[in-house]
Amino acid sequence: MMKFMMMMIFMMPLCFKKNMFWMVQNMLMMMVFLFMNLSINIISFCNLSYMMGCDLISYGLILLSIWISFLMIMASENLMKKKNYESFFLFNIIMLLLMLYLTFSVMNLFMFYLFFEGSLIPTLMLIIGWGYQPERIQAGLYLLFYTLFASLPLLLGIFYLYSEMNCMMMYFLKFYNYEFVFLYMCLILAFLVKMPMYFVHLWLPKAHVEASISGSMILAAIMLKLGGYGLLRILIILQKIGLKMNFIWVVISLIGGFYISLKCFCQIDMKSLIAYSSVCHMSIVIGGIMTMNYWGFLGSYVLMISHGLCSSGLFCLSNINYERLSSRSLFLNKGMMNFMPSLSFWWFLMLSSNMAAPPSLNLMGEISLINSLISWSWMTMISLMLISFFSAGYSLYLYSFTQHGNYNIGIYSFYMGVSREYLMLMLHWLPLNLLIMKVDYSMIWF
Amino acid sequence: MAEKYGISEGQFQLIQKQAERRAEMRQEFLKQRTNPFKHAAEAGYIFDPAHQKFLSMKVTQFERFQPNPRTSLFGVLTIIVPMLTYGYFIWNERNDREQKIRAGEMPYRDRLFKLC
Repeated sequence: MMKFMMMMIFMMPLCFKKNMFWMVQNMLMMMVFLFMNLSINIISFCNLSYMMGCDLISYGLILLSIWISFLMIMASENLMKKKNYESFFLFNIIMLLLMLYLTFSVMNLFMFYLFFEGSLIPTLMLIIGWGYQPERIQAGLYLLFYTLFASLPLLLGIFYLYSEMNCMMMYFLKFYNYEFVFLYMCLILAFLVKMPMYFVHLWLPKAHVEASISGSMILAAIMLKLGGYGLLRILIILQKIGLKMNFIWVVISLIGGFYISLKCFCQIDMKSLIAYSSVCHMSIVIGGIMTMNYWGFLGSYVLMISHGLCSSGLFCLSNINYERLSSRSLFLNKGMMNFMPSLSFWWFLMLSSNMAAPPSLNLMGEISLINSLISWSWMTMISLMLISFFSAGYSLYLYSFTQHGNYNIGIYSFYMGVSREYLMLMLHWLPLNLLIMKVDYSMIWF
Repeated sequence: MAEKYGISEGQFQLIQKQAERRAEMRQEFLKQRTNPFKHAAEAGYIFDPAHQKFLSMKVTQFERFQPNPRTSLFGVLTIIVPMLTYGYFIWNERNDREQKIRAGEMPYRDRLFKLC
């Protein structure tokens, strides 16, 4: 496990050499394959080294992180062409990847917190450094302060746990149980803000929209999943009180998810629509984790992986349009099938995966989560019906509005899809729709 | 002319003015669209100020929001009240199910999702 950390550390000086943009991307691709060769045990932590270990959940999320970092560089060719500080950009990505890798692989709860917070700084730099509009400053502040405000109680909670248990190892958390309501609130608030849950979701549309393509990709793919991963680890110690109080978060996130899916229909900005759809998916994930079922935990893991790929792909698609028209407005980006019919195919695949149509991995995640929520209480059927229906609704709305119909007559010029863009989309779609063939890699844990 | 169409003189003048304005805007649009020296690198489309105003309005909606009794009532009725009701019903249903199971009133075969 240390070898990946070393590889990332030594890639950092490589970013500053001349003409190393695609070389760093190649190295990340090799890292993906090296990481895939790591043999893991699905029922316990393995590959233990100094303070790092690999569980099934960690494995999937680290793999997703490296994969998305690789695709982020592929998406940012414009940056390299315009010489927009590309070496700092690469350094930022490697730094962020290192932080994320350490977040997911450390076994110590305090170290997890340290890198959880540490990953915010490179993200902030990606938003403010390479974003497009002046609103990105406010977006960066929202991201930073929402997360920091909620995670200070988490830090205090971790200190309390250390003073009580004298042990911070994740594997040993299952031997303890705390029925302290204040501790429960402190520990899970940070992850609910990160996920995000309905009432504290305001940072997400701002941050996703104002970030450049690479910032949006990493935010949608991985940063939201940090919250899910944290919840999966921390709820083990809060089981007893969780069984009593988790219904609050389930109710808030399910009804909130319904309202967010309605709000998606009101968006005029493509990226904003995709950002709100991320909140909607994460609301079902929160519902699933909070039911504390086996199916809930695994469904949330599968949906986290699949949403990471799908949302990232959708942001890539909207960026393809943005690069040509310098506008994300739906009013201008319509009738794209007239210009790029081949890309319509990829819009369709990504949006059908977004609405959890078969044979995508989202379907597997949503089926498991629907099962877990309905087993928890049949009344969740109402909100789940509404969320699923409107989720399909806004995905279809986005597809038909951007692809079908007449194009905007005010467009001057356009150019066809480039191979790099098709490759990027294929690399998003291929794991998403093929992993459902071998979903037992994600559905068997402890 | 107006009595030919069955409308008043004032309305006729208004419609004529609107048609003139529309023709002016159309000429401006076609002039920009067919301009051979356009700098498409700045933006790939003809800039429409009305569209920009609409986008700016949508983006600053949150900043221009002013809470008043009508909006507060809307928020409470559509968000807080459904969540509280839903939570109440779910809590009761789960509690009753748990009570029945603990008191032994629910036979094992009727317990759904027991292996979840």
